[in-house]
Amino acid sequence: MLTTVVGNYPRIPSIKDGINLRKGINDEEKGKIDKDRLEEIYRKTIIRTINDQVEAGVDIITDGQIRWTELTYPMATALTSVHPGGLRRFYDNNIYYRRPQITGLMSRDREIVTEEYRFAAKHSDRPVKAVLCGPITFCNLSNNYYYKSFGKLADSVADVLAGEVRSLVAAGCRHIQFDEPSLPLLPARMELASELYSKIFAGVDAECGIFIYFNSIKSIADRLFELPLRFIGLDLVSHSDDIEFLKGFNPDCKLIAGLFDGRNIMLENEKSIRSKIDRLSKMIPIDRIMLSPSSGLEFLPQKYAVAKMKRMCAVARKLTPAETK
Amino acid sequence: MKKMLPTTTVGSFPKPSYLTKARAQYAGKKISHDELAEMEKKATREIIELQERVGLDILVHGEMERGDMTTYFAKKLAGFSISSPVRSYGNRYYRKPIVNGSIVRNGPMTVEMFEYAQSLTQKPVKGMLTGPYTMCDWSFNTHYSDRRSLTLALAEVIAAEAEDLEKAGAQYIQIDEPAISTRPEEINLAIEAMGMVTSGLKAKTISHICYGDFKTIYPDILKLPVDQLDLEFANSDFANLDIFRDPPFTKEIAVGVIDIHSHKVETVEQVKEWIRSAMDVFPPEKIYIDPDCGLKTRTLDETEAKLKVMVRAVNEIRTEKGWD
Repeated sequence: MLTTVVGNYPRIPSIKDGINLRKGINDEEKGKIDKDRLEEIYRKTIIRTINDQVEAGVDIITDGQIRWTELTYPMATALTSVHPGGLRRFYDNNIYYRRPQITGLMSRDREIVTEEYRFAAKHSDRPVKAVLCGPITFCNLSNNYYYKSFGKLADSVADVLAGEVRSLVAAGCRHIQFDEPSLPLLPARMELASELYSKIFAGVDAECGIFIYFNSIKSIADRLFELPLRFIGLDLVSHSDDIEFLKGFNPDCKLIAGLFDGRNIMLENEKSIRSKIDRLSKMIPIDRIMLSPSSGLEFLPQKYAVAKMKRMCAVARKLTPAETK
Repeated sequence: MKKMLPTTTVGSFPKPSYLTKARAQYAGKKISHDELAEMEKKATREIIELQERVGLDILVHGEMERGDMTTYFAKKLAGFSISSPVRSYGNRYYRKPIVNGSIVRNGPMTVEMFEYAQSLTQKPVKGMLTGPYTMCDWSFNTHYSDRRSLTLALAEVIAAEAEDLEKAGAQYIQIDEPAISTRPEEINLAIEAMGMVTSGLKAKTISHICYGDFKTIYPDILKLPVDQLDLEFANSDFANLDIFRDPPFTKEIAVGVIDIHSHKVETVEQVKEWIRSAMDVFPPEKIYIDPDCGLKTRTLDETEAKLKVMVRAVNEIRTEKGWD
């Protein structure tokens, strides 16, 4: 059974290792170090993040989104006519994001995350998954001062994402994930979501899918598995009853089962995880299931993030010989 | 005549560089607790002087002895340990508390610093606490069976602290609940816990809430058993003001008119315009004026410049209205 992570990762190590990104950012702001020195600290932090995942045994890794201040950051800073606005709480977390402000016709005049992908791929012998904010979530988390409707805004977001997905594939990326925590909050947008994903992923030779965390899929479970996706990742911790909705899972799709709590330091008991996997395997062929935390690991101090990944990989390794024979 | 539009602040002030250094030295066991405490008192004196100089009406002690609003209390209470830093936003982090035992208050946590700050000024100084719901929401719970039992256990110890602050002479007690808008479905738990803290208090009670979606908790939030709500508005250019028109707001309101996340100092005209728009929604006699949130992320110079603008804007409005 393969393992992956959702995306973000702690930027500060629990035990000091001489790479201090927090201080680097502050020092650069105060003019104590130059941009090149800060860039070097960013790179070292990303390499540490990659090494943590590889050493823990994660099969498909991310770059930890070390350069991002929030999920919407890359798009809010790279796209024309979009910029980060006032702070808002990020769903039900004590983490805040700057709400993107859309003030004109959006366009992608430069790459959004492809360069970050290239850097991570160069420093990892494991496949690197590229993550972006999904179109429905991006529209939901933004203030739209330009487009006449949610649908028109979403179309424009899909255009820029389609361009970025093609850049990523051209750079060699084979795993592309859109985070869509807002999708269950907007069940009326499911048809639109389906159209957008079709448009963005059409003809793309890569594993393309979405991850939904924090919010229960109850409101969209009946249509979720019809979406044109190669994988769907779900937070099965915040709403553990959501497992029941997987009865209708599309066997052509893969499930990333977020069974390890990305927001609490308590380590999952192996037995309880195995019993959940047993339940899942009655609904979905076991070779279509991959394990992951329920959300990004940035909510944990680094040492607990490492412990979570190790526990997850240990469970997956034990399952592999017996159950996939 | 009662002073109209009293000015105040939310709680924290920036720490002077000698104190930041002393805190690092104390963490590295290079100076003693007494030496650190002396620095904290010196800084508190300076923060009180700053507030007097600016002309604020209701002061705070500035939280020179606190790092983070949850970690400070978690370190004082039995039942907590402290983790390494996790991010709250941007390049800001806090050491998230871990609940790993039963919560017990070993003694007063905030009274000594309150008494010291109050001894330095004739103006009232607010007693400052973090609310039980936020303490629960911003900790890793590995001990209590559910969020409710942890929140109510925290409410008991915070209630005892509020009582001690009142005995020490606090006329205003602020119990911050910035996490309250996180899960609208739990608002009744937050209300119940706050009731345990404020019931029986004669002091004016205040709760500060920020950076949440107020739409999801209004008008339910009016049931929070405090006299005054302190909310942020400037950060979103007052776009959230309309939420409070209908049904009408029934409590006192402290209106945030200074964006504490921006280096840019607001103009007097801008702040006056915002205060006028607030007076259009809230009865003027129920309005207090303050920044959006604690000021600890600004420099001392920025803080003083921003507060001067705020006080000048209020004074000009008082003059225009004949409220001098």
